[in-house]
Order: sequence, then structure tokens, then C-alpha cells
Amino acid sequence: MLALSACAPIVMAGTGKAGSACIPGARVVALDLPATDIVAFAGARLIGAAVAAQFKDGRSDVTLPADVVDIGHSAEPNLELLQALRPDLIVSAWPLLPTSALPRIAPVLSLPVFTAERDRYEVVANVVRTLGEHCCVAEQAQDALAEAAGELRRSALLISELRSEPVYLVYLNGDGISLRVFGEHSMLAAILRRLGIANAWTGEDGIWGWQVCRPDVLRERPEARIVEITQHWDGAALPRQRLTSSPLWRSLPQIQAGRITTLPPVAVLGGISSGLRFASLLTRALMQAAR
Amino acid sequence: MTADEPSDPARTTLAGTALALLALALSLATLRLWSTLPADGWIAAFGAPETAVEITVHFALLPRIAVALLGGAALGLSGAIFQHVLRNPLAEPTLLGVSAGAQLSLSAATLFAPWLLEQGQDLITIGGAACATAIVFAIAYARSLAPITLVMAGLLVNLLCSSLNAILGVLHWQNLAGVFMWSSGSLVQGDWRIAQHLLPRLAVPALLLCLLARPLSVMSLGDQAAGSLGLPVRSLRLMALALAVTLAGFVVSATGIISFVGLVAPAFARLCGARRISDQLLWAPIIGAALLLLADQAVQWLGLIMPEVPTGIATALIGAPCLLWMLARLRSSNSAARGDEPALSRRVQRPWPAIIVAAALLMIAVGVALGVGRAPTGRLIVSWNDAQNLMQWRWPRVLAALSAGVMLALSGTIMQRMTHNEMASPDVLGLSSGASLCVIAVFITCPGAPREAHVAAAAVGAFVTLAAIIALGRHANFAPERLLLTGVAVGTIFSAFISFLLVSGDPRLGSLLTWMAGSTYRATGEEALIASVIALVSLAVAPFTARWLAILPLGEQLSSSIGVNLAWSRLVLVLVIAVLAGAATLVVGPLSFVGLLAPHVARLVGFQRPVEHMISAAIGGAFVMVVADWLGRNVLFPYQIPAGLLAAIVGGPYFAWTLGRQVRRNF
Repeated sequence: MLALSACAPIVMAGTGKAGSACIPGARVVALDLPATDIVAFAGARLIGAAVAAQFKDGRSDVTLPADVVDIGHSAEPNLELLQALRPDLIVSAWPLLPTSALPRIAPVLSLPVFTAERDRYEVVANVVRTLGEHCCVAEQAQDALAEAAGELRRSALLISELRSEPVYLVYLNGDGISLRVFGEHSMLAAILRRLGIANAWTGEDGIWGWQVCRPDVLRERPEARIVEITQHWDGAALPRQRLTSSPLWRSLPQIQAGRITTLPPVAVLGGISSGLRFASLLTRALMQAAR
Repeated sequence: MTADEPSDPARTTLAGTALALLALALSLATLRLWSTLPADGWIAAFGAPETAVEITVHFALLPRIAVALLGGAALGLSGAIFQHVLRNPLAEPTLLGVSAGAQLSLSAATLFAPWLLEQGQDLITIGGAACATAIVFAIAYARSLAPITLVMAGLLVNLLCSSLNAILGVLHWQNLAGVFMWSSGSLVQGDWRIAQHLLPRLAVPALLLCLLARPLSVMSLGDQAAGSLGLPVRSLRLMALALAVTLAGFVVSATGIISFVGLVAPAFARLCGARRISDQLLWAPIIGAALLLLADQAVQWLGLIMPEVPTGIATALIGAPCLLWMLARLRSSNSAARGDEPALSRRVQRPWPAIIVAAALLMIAVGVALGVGRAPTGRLIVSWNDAQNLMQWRWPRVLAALSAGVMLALSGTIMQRMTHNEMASPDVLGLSSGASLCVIAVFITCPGAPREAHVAAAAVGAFVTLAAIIALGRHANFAPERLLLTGVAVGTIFSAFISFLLVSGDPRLGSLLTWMAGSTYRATGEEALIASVIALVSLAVAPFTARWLAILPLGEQLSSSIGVNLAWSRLVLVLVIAVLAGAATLVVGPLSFVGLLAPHVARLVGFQRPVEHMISAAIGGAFVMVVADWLGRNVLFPYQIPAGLLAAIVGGPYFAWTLGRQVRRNF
């Protein structure tokens, strides 16, 4: 029941006038990675973001302009700095504690991104629309969504010609032995559905959209393709190598048949920008594999 | 044959028990294999596996058994050497910094030099383990590596390494997922590489240790006697310990942190009658192998009905109660002398003016903490003109830090006076860890619980830990070693539990982590006020316990003859300590050392009588926490470092210095 009540479409807290007219040119601060993705995607005016320094080209799905202020760690955004920025709206995708002091600085828009609902893409698209309405950029947001949908359709068309096999989406974990398999709740799986590719993993995945497993579980659909998403931008090569060189991994039917694709890192908890980047990376990789 | 040669029946019992244990573990393992693959497929699985099940048996289950046996044997042997050489039945490979050093170096390498990881994890973990252990030895070398000095220095290095590791974890926890997984101590295997890698690396030191068995047994006569027989005691000790550290280091590198096997296996061997060192060197590894395999099999069988727990966490959960049980059985003669009368060299002649001066300094610190901060541009400025806006963020944190400092210092002072032990304090003895454990349990089981429930849980956790410490420590007159090891036991359960949480990879853990590291970020005005009320009330009540605190240190007999009701006075004091430690932990987490630091400084400055000691310690504790909180908010602006961790970096070295003094007095 608790989980259900937490799924209310949008939660406005603080001094803001919920339901009233939007604020043109609203100055927005994003408190975490999914929120940053969503705000940037909707075309709102982002003036500050948690760990903003990490959103740079080649290290992230979303690139932020240099003038976006870094407000500190996502778990502890700097309140004094936030206040000095005088934002009109604070946006968060992680649930806020009821005791949070943020509503005293500006109205907080808590985006219900991580819910029990099955299609993360649809959930995020709704959130993008709501955010657009709040910031008077409803049209831009709608355009961005339409453009994204168009891009996904084009990719789906390309992929339909390949008649692609079902895929397992996996992270190879840092312990060198276990995997994280992405299930129906993840943004990645939502993208797969839109590309017309079946997700081979149908097991339990929780609201974060993944399950930690041993390599054996991939034997269930021997005809599937394994799509590995690199977990970190650097490091971690050794544990990965430990797994990929182990007989457990090498004896998998997919590996034996060479049906494995490795993609660069994608923020698996990200928003539509991350989803689109994943879609283009995957399409390109599958086309290359088919050639 | 010497007179203390164990009789044959005793050795038969020993061999029988050890082999029975091994047989039990092996039969469980066989059963597990058999449930996966019927016996007729075994030849194929052992030789040239083809089907998926055969491959799983050959490359996952069998090497896992091998690694459990190898790791357990190495840890058992290493523990036997440690316990013999340090003449401390509670010594453990991880006690001298092996695991903590390995963990810190692995975290640091993952974050700052990922290319190093590609050269091989062994290099990093063993390098870290060796460095940490070398520091421990360096501290203790001046005193001929005396057992108690080594244990104390080990404890200190462990605490420092884990504080530093916690800072890295707070700032970069998402990038450390692999290290968290490693820390939890998993024996899951994907091939034979780790087993093949371990075998020669463990066999060589083990053989060398066997060669040392004879000189080592001569050392049982005592340093002087052994020295007069021409034995180079110091180098022998160093060599044996270096080999034992190497053994443990390789195991830790390959499997992650597996606690307590090295402690329990030799103890078990002795319990079954292995009195001679040669017997211990033979049977401790066998028992260790059996125990680790047993724990690993238990974890696998449980894994069939619930998410599998890493083996290292299971051994910590099973081993910590074993340690506590052994503490209770430990004869006093085995433990070090209790903290002796501190040198009462100084005494402040007129304490109250001095206390007023200290309070004035505290007020200045509070003023700075409230008034000086970084501007959005990052410049450090006095911000009185914008004070109204900034104050609403600063005062709850400053007040919370201040109150926590007062509470920790007070509970530390009361503990130190009550147990008459300089090492006593809520953070060192595990009260804070106990409190945190209960709070996290409440946090997870009912996420919506009100803040009062957290306060109650923290107090209960601190109370239970303290009650256990007192029950265990009374008979030994609160010998410092015993008290510290109780803290280690609780602390190990705590860190195992945290690893377990971190392995789940739940993205919400970031905020739990900063809280556990002692951040005042979440302190609301209301909470800060509640904390300050508790602090003020306890300051007001504290003078009434002064008579007890003046008399109890004189000893049980004298105290009761003066007319102090021992049970009653202890209960009241323990309750006060538990409430204070619990409430403080809620605000600044379990790591700060302020409860140790403040009472000491106050005493060294010369505040000796109970009331002035308590008040001055409270002021000192508050000062340290306020400064730590201010630094934490400003050093890495806009990022923030938890105040508890910063206080630990100041408090840790102080702790080292205290240990040094304590050791010098005891030897």
C-alpha cells in the first residue's frame, strides 16, 4: 500500500503554488542523475546540478554547459549554495526524506521515476511532460519527446530488417563472477520493447530494474544474444576479464556462437537521453554484428 | 619427553574432533555436489566436463570447495602463529591490519589509479596489507614487538584505515561497488585459477613455518629463557609474523575479508587439547579448513531458500559471538594488566576559571562556525550581512555537533572513571557501532518509523553492547585488552552488516552511508534542540554521579565498604552512558573517537576531580565536533565531509599516542 501511495503522479512541497500557472524561464536545480537528465531533456533552464562536474563529454550520456553550478554530492546537496542560487524549482527523482529542508529554499518537484510501473520510458515521458508544464516549456518538452519517438522508430525500422534474436542485457560485476541482468522495469528494457527486440530475461527485477545472477541463468535462452553494457568509464577491466575468461562464461552457448556485443557505459538509471544513447549504440552494434 | 606432553587420549580426542569436523564439512559438500549432479556424472564432471551441469560442478562448485579448504587452512595456520607468537589467545591475522590495509589500498587504487588494477589485484591488496602491518610493527618495534603493543598498534591501524576507507566510500560509493563486493568475502568461483594461484603461494610460507616450529616452541619458555638459549627472539618473532601475514594476505586478496576463522580455529584446537605448538600448527589449519568449508556450505544451502549471503559475512556473524564467549572464558592471567593509576602529575589549582576560559574558546569556535563560511564563488568570507538566510542552515548543524560532542565526552568520562580504564569510550568499545546497528535495523524494517524510534533503538543498541562489555569485563577488572576486543567483535558484526547492505547496490544507500559516517547534514532544528536538551540535562545530572565516580575506581570491596550500592550505581551509570552514546551516535555516527579524546585531554590538562573532569571534557568534546563540522562544510566546498569522520582523523592519532602511553605503563 505504501508503495502505491508513493506513486502519486507528482508531489509538490514547500511554498510553491501547486497547480497554479507555470513560471516562465524557471531556474531549475536537479538533485540527482535521473533528474538532471529529465530537466535537460525537457529543455528547462538548468542552473545547478549534483556532481555537475561529471556531466562532461565522453563521460556521461548528458553533457551540461560549463555554467551549470555543481551543488555537491547527491546525498548532501549544499544548502547554503542552493540558497544563494535562488532557484525557482528544485527537482529530485530519488524520494526526499519528509524532514528535508529543501522546500524552505524553493518548491521541490519530486519526480516519481522509480515506481512499480512496468514501462520506465512511459513513466519518464510523463514526468518530462509534467516538468515541461511546470517550467513553461511544455511545447519544447513535447517536441523533444516526439523527436525521441521518431528516432526510436527509425532505429526500430533498421532493426526489423535484421530480425534480431532476443537479448540479455547485462553488467559484469566487479567481483569477477556475478552479473546484473536488466529486467522489464529498467529503461533499457523499455527501449528494447520500442526497438522491437525481445528481452530474454523475464525474471524478477525489482523497482530498480535489475537482478544479480550467476552466468548460468543465461543458459535459459541459448538462442539469445548477450549485450554487455560496460559498467564504468574506466578501471574494472581486470574483474571483467576474470569473468569473461572463465570456463563458466566461455561455455555459455551464446559465447560459443559468438553472440555477444559490448556497449560503452550507459547510465542505467538515467532518463530518456540515456535511453536514446543506448538505442543508438545498440542499433549500431547489432547492424555491425549482422554484417 | 617433557612432563607437559599431552597424554595419548588427549591427542586422540584432538585428532578425532578435528577429523570429524572435516568429515562433516566434506560430506555436506558432497551432498551439495550430489544434489546438483547424480553420482554417475561425476567422472565426466571431474575430468572433461561437457554439459552445463558438469561445467558448473567442475568450474564453480569444486574450485569453491578447494578455495574454502585452502583459505581456511591458511587462516587457521596464520592464526595459530599469531596467537603463539603474540602470546595472546585472541590474536587474529586481521588484527594486525591485514584486511583493513588491503581494503584501503584496493579502494584507493580503484579510485585514483585504476590502471594498477590491471597489473593484478594481489599486488595492491598484499601491498596494502604489508604496509599496514609494517606500520604496526614499526610502532611496536621499539618495545621488542611485545604482544600487547602489537595488538594495540594493530587495532589503531585498523581503525585509521577503516576511517579513511569510509571517507572514500562516502565520496565515491558508486565507483567502489567492486570493492564492496570484495570486502564482503565471497568464495564464489568461476574457474580453478584462484585455487591454482593460492596453492603455491600458501604452500611455501606454510612449509617455512613448519621449519620454525621447533624454535617457536622454545619461545614458549619466555623471551629471556629463549634468549639465553641463544635464540634470536626478535627476528624469530618478526619472521614468523611476516610469514603469517603473507599467508593471510594472499587469502584476503583472493577471497575478500573473512574474519574470525583465524581466531576460532587455533582456539578450537587448543580447546581439544593441542597444547604444544607443533600440535597447533598441524591441527589449527585442518580445523580452519573444516570451519570455513562448513560456513561456506551452510551459506550455499541457505542460499537455496533465500538470497545468498557472502561467506565472509556469515563467518563474522558466527565468529563474533565465539569471540565474546572466549573472552568470558579467558583467565585473567592471560590478559594484560588493567589501566593503572594514571600519573597524577598535574592538577589545575583553580579549575573553574580555567573552565570558563575553555567555555569562552568554545563560544568563539561556535561564532566562527556560524559566521564564517564559503561564498558561492568558493571564497571564505564572514557573512554577517547575509546571516539571517545562512543561519537557518548553520545553527542546527552546529548545535547538533556541539551536543554530540558534549554527549560523547560525558559518556566517555563516565565510562573511563567507572571502569577505571583509560581506553574506555563509547566509540572504541563498540557502543556506537551497536547503536548504529539497531538504528539501521529499524531504518530497514520499518522505513516510516518516527525519529523517536531511532533514538530508542540507538539507546537500546548502546545499552546491550555496554551490558555485554560489563558482564564480560567485570571478572577481569575491566582489563583494557578485553574491553577493546569486545569493541572489535561488535565492530566486526557492524561492518559485515554494512558490507551486506552495500553489496545489494541499492542506489538509495548513498545517504545512509553519509549518515553512518557521522554527517550532521540531516540534523533538523528540532533534532538539534532535542540533542541539546539531552546534553544539557545530562550535564545537570552528571554532578550527582560524582560521588560514585570518585569512589568506584577504588575497587569493588572498598566501594561497598564505604557504602556504595555497587549494582545500583553501576546500573544508573550504564543507563546514562547508553542514552548519551545512543543519542550522540544518531547525530554524528559511530566513528568519531571524541568520547576517548575529550576525557583524556581534560585529564592531562589537570582536571582530576569528577565534576570538573566531566565539565571540561564536555567542553573539549563540543569544541572538537564544532571544529570538525565547520571543516567538513568548508574544506571541499560545495562537497561536504561528515564531521564524525574528520573528528576520527584527529582522534585516531591521539588514540595511537594514548595506546603508546598505556603500553609504556604496563610494561
